[in-house]
Amino acid sequence: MYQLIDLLTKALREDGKIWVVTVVVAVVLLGWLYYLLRIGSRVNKLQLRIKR
Amino acid sequence: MSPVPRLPILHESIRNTFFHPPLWIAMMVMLLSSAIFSVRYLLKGHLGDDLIAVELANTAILFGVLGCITGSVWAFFAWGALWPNDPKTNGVAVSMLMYLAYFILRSSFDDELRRARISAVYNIFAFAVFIPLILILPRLTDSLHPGNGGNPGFNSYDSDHSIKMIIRPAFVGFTLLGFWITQLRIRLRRLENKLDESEEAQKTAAFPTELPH
Repeated sequence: MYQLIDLLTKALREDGKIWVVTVVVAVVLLGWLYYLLRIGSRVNKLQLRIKR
Repeated sequence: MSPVPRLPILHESIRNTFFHPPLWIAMMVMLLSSAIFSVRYLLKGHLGDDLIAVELANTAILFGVLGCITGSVWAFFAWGALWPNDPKTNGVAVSMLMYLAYFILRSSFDDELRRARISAVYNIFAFAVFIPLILILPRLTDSLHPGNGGNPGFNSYDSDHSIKMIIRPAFVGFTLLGFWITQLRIRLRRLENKLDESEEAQKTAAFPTELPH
């Protein structure tokens, strides 16, 4: 497992680390998306309560 | 992609400066605003100010968590460790725990007014500790972070302003996004509170506590 991580790290370092930027962008966007989806589910719950 | 300064260890990952620092700037602005609303609550006693303060802190924590994850990913490839022993990263960890304690403290009170008053005092205290931990102490000791512990900041490498040109609008954009998410949460909480009140009123009307003689 650690060897695989080492290999992956080396491979990612060799290509100028542009993949690190991609991972960071993905983390930021997924974090916001998750948070907004949670707000969306709260809005849905509220709608259901109002309908009842 | 726009050109960026070529630095030996960072290479293309210097582009992370467009995402990682703006998350922290947005977090700091929101925590400052949260502390201001807590002061306002203590001065005026409007529960609405307490609601704004807690929701600002909530969104700030989201940005803080994302800042920690993006920082960890970057540190793993640049410094060789997911969580390097650095005063700034450790200070951030302590600050995040302090704010998590703020939410736990809030949930431990049943009385609305008591919860608002005590958590407002705690919020102001937490912000007063947060700033030295994240901005002052890392500058006084050895640090891996640029611009801290005597390290040169990115400004010295950014002679053609290629970083500044993107990072400054990113500071504004990320902060505004944070405020937009916060106002969504505030409006939602207000609606939930109103619905709770009306449901409570309906229940009281249906089952009056005082029985007729």
